[in-house]
Amino acid sequence: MKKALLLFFLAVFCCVAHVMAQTLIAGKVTSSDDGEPLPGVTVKIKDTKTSTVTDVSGVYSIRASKGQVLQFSYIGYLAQSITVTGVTPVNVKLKTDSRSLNEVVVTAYNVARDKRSLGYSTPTVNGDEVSQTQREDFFGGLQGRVAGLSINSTNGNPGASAQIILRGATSLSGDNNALIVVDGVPINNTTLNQTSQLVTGAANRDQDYSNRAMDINPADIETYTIMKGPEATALYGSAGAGGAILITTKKGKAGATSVNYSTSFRIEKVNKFPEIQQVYNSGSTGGVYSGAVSTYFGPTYLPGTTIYDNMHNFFQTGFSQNHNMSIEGGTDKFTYRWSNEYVDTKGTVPTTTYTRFSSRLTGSAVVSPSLKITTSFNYINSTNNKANKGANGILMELVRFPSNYDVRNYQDAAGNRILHYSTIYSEYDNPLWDVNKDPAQDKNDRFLGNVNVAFTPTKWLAVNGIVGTDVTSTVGTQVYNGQSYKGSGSSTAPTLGSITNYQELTKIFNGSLTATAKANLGIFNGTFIVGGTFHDFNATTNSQYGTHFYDPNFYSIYNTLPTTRNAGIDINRYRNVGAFAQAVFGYKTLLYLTLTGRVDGSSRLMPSINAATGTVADAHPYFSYPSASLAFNFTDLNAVKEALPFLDYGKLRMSYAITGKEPYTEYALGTNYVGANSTGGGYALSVTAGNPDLRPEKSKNFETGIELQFLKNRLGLDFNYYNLNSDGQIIQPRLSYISGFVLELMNGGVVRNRGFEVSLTGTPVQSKDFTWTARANFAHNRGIVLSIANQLPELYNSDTWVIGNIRSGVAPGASIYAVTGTRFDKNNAGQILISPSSGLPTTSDTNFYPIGDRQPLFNLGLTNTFTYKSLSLSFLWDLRYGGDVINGTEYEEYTRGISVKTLDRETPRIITGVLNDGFQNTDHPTANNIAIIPYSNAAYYSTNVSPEMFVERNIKALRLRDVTLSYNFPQSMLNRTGFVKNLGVFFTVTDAILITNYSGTDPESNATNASSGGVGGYGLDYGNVGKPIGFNLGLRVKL
Amino acid sequence: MRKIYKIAAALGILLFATTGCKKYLDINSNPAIPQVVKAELLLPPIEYQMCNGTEQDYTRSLSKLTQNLGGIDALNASTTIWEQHGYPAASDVGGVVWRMVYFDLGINLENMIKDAVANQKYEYAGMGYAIKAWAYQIATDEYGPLNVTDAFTPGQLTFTYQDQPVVYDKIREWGNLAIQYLNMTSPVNYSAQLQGPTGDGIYKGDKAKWKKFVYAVFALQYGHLINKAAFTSSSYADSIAKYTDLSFANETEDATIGFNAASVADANPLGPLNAGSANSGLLNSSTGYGRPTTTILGLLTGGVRGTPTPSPTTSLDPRLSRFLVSGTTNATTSGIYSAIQPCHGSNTTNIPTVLGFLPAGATYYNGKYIFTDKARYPLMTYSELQFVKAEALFIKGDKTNAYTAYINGIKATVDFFNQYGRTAAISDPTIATTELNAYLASTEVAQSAATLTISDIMQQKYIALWGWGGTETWCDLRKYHYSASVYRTYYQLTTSDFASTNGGKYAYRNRPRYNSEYVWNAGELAKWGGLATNYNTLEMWFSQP
Repeated sequence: MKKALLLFFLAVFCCVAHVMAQTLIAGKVTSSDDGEPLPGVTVKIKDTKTSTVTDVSGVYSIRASKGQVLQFSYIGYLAQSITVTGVTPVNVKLKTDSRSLNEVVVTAYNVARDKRSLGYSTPTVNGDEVSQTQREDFFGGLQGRVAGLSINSTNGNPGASAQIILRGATSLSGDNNALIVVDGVPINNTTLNQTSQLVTGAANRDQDYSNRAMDINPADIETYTIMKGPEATALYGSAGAGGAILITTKKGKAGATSVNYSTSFRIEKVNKFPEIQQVYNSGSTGGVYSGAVSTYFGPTYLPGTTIYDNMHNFFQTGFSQNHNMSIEGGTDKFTYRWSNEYVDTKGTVPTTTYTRFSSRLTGSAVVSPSLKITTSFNYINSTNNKANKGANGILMELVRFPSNYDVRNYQDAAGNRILHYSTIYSEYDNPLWDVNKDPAQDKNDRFLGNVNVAFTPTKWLAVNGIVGTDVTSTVGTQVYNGQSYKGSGSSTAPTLGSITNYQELTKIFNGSLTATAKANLGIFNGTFIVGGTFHDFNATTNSQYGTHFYDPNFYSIYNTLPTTRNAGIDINRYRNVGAFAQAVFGYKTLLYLTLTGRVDGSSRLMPSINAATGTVADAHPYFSYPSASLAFNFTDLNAVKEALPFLDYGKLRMSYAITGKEPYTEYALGTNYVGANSTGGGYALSVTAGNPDLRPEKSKNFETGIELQFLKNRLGLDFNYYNLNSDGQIIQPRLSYISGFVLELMNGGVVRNRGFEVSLTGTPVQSKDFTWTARANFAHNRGIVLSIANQLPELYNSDTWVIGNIRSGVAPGASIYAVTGTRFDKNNAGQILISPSSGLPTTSDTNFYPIGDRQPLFNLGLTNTFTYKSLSLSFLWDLRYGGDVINGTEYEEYTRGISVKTLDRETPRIITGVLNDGFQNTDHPTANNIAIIPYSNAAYYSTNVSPEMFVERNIKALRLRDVTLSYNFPQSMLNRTGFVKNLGVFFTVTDAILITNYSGTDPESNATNASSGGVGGYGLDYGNVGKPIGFNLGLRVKL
Repeated sequence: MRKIYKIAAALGILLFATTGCKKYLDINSNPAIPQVVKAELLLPPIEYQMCNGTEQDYTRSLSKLTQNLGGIDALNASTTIWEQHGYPAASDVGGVVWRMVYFDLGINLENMIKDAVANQKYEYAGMGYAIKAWAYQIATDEYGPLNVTDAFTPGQLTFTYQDQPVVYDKIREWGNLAIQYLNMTSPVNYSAQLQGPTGDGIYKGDKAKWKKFVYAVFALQYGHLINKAAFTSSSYADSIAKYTDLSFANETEDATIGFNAASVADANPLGPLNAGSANSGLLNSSTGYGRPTTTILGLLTGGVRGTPTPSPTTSLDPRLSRFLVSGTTNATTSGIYSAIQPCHGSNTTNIPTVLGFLPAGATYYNGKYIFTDKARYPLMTYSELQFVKAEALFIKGDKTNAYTAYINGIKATVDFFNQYGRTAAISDPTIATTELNAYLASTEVAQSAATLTISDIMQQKYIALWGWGGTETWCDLRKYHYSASVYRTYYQLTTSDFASTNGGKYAYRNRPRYNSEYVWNAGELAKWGGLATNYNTLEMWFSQP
């Protein structure tokens, strides 16, 4: 008892003595960048367990003795140590650590990984860099900023869909789009597929529907992390087989509440038009005038004829406005951010608009030291008024429109269509009639919600649970007026207009649970992650179709003839489950080995009753695959450090991964019936045969690269090489109908993608007032189809067969981006055969051969930012080099005599070739000697056409995608206001310059829309309007 | 130790997860559509497709080869090529019956028969085999060799063909199976279903009539073999007489398909409602199809035995005004029946379509004869069989009975019109007996067995089948090798009229469907010479001696 008492007293005494020696140190921690207080900074007394954190105002207080060292640390800032001298307050300015931001990379399911441990490249892009381009869609702003990321938009209209492809297409028929993940939750990025979802079942080419990633407000995005290889996405499994774009949204920052507001206004102008000849009048052939055709092989326009500049008269100046307001703030325990966006875009094509309202609330609460919950809710409402595209879209209508009439006169006083050469049934629409009378609209309401629970029971274990939901409702209408070309039908059976209504409700519900354990064993360290995921996708589309409007100008399904009404329902549902385990073994920070294994379960691989055979196959829904990667941070070796002092950082990496990709469509293992709407109803089998043996596509990827930082991190290089083999391609070839079916989904074919990527980052100039940073991204990819299922000579996408005999098709040995087409008949020596009777070439061989490759040789993106004091100028150059583009617009212009290439029609010429006179395959074929004057023989333009003539080879396009000049008003000036913390103005020009050897308007074009499988209509330019130049002027203010 | 518990617990959860997951994943069937369909609900689309398949090939290909119809769009090579006995390259036109047999009927029909046999729905089994026999008969007469052995084998990608003798045998085998099942009685009565709106659109489930349907197929089949030595020696002719007698007793028993005409897909594809639709319809191109030719006009205006009247406005043949439309546009064409000469239609002529006239203020054409939305679509008729019988007996030498059948046939065409040809919005009057008798007494009709010629029979059959019976008429033309002495008004193509790939020959077969066989089964096609550009001129087995 005595002993105890003594101890007690000793303890109390010592303690008091200890306390007596300490003083209360207080101070404020601010950021050296903007002087803002930094809440949540850890202040720790070195070598003790005593620590505190700064409060909302950046203020802290701690008891410490003289001589002790205070350590200030905060994520994203360089740590500082200050020895206690007894002087108080101790105010600290923390400097941002440009490197430390990159030290931690958020990988799949919000698993944070030390960047040094990653065996693959993970480029990140700052969200503001993208949003400052003022584009409505984030992906448009990402183009050119990441090596290997290719964004191919359908056209330049507001709300246009885009393919988002990383590295290159790997699937011949499946979806090649990258997975879009927002805060750990894969979101809906589908594009409405007319063929399968709508009752009309039309091909995916005459209308466009936005891909749903369009809905996300770019200003809400903090960072983009791009995961390209399958190794990177091994954690997302099948869905991530095409790579993934991980989006981290902005979260509230603790501290005083701040209000941010930014706005910008944009005007847009179409600055590139297709060229048309305005010399020759309409006529079928021989220079004979005909007022009843839309071909222009007639005589020259009579002198004095007024020729209208319809191209310029049609397009309008686009105007948009964009408002973004966010409020954020909070304490160290609780933060919130509420952001709102309103975008209103009026396109350059009359009547086209895109309007979006987005409201997003993110809150984060530290429930207990070990539990943090972050939730976000995002409501988005958007409306897109669209114009028709393709064969009867606005550009082709404009091109075909007679130049001697004014396009602006599209209707008479009674509201009837003004006709110039034929009847409503056979005269193509005036584009202004089309946009005004054939409305097409999509309205979306979308709700995105997600909850992220981070549980850290012990230092070494972190459990992270994410649940997300994404509900999108799209209500759309597509109308053809009864007097429109497409809505009139024929004179014998008039359609009197048609309307398609559709309501799509897509619900995604998904979640993941991961546990990350970290262990250190001396010089060895390990990170072990296990996790499970589920994903539920359910989309129901109801659609209704009706024709024969009673009132020609009232567009409603009620206004149609009841017997013409038809309805359809498409239910697209699938589920996935996944379990994965990952182990990262590290030796110091020098060497890391990551092993990952994943098992996927796919509902699409569950058997369905085979309606054809009545049998049910065995269930094999699971497939698994491993990956391994190695990261070697060789600059951590002393020998390297000494030998290469200029090298700040170096990493060698290598990875090998296998990924499975589930079938791209559901219900495919069994044959399905479809409802018959013919007399008596009933059911008949679908055109597609079920295939119970369907297996996932398998990709095997080998990747290696090096990452280097030189000259005090002023220069960085990242090089990456990969070889990706995608085996067991899921394709849907036609069959001999004797099989009982027209099509079948089957495995067969190998595609190899090989390429390399180089990223260079540098800061050529860095001084007190002036900084110049630059980044270059280079990517080269070759995708080759090594084989397709045995019997198939060619596999094509029928949606892309928009004009002539050209289509997106693949053949063994050709590029996956090949186009196939028919060819002129040739002799054994490859000379073009000329018909001795007409003097024109012939095309009797109806086979399709690979005639072009749309894959660019390389893409180069160059970003430069110059900062002088508060003035900053940044711009992005984007170079696409090589690859073919198919000029379908020119094809139609040429065959109709509208092309400027037909202006020399009065010049006699002899087509180079040999006569098909029986001597063509001898040693002495007869050279063609038949002269033709196309003016008197229009067949020259209609018969003497071969798809190859419109494949424009080796297209180079250098674009100034965007350039932004911004100015921030000096702090000293703002301080006088007392409440404005930040004020800036900016001027941005988008799609400013396009220098190209492509003769059409824009090589970035797609003849289908993003819902088309495989590579779709990429690089097939048919009736697409290029991107207009946009001038944005805006301001941002922070209160 | 605790670690082991933890691992065991984890494994347990995993095991539970995998079994639970399978259940979670088991949603891979389309909730909007039944996965298993009974025979009863497979029948209506099958019957619709029997019409749709034959009609499409008839409209675009066979009606032109037989000169039943033509186009006035001489500039459009893809439509006039058929009048020139050629075919458009790389096209599925003329391949719809191929699709009908193997896909539209195809496994649907097999499944219907399978369900019917397994579940004792004998009337459905009987109808199934009857339809199968009919369909393959239509198909082999259009394309020649077919696959009748291993079609529909799951997983098989290439298929062999069997020649016509094998196919003809198989058809009789299926026909006999049909008779066998139609003679059986199902334990459950399906008559309510069969007579209902999703029932049997041909005979409302009348088994006796379905048997007649099968006998009609048999009669037609033997009728194709007149050039065979066995026709008279092995009494094919007697078989024909027997089967025609077992078959339709009059026009009310004709095999025809009905429509409600409530919507485009529920209307006769030969009618005005379908005239503008993209994939079906007689007038899917307003100028390329659907105009009567000089061949039929000639037969209806004195050309069967004499010389056709030029610019006729009336005819002793009452069928002229009931089948064809006279010009109405202006004084020079008003009341005159005009027709195109095959291969020589032109953009400037204004020949009315078979759809009749456009009533003032109406959206749709009036329709005429069997070219209306509600008209029943004929597959086989009593008059057709009477002419088959007449032909067979004539060849056999039984002129007296041949003559009786011949007169029956002519009378039956009038019955046919009166029964089925009056569904137009404003319909034509029935053909009165007096009109019929006047015609029967005219020089256009053989007045005695002694003066009867094969030309009389075949031309009257041509008239009876005009507008629908493309395959059978084409078989007849091929049997007689387009003889100008049998088909007196058939426009004999000149050398320059023929399509360039024909080598001056008439067409004797259609090529199998392009996107089925030429693209994906070309190896087999090559064995039959099918890749040659003039394969369409190769004569088939049936018409050869």
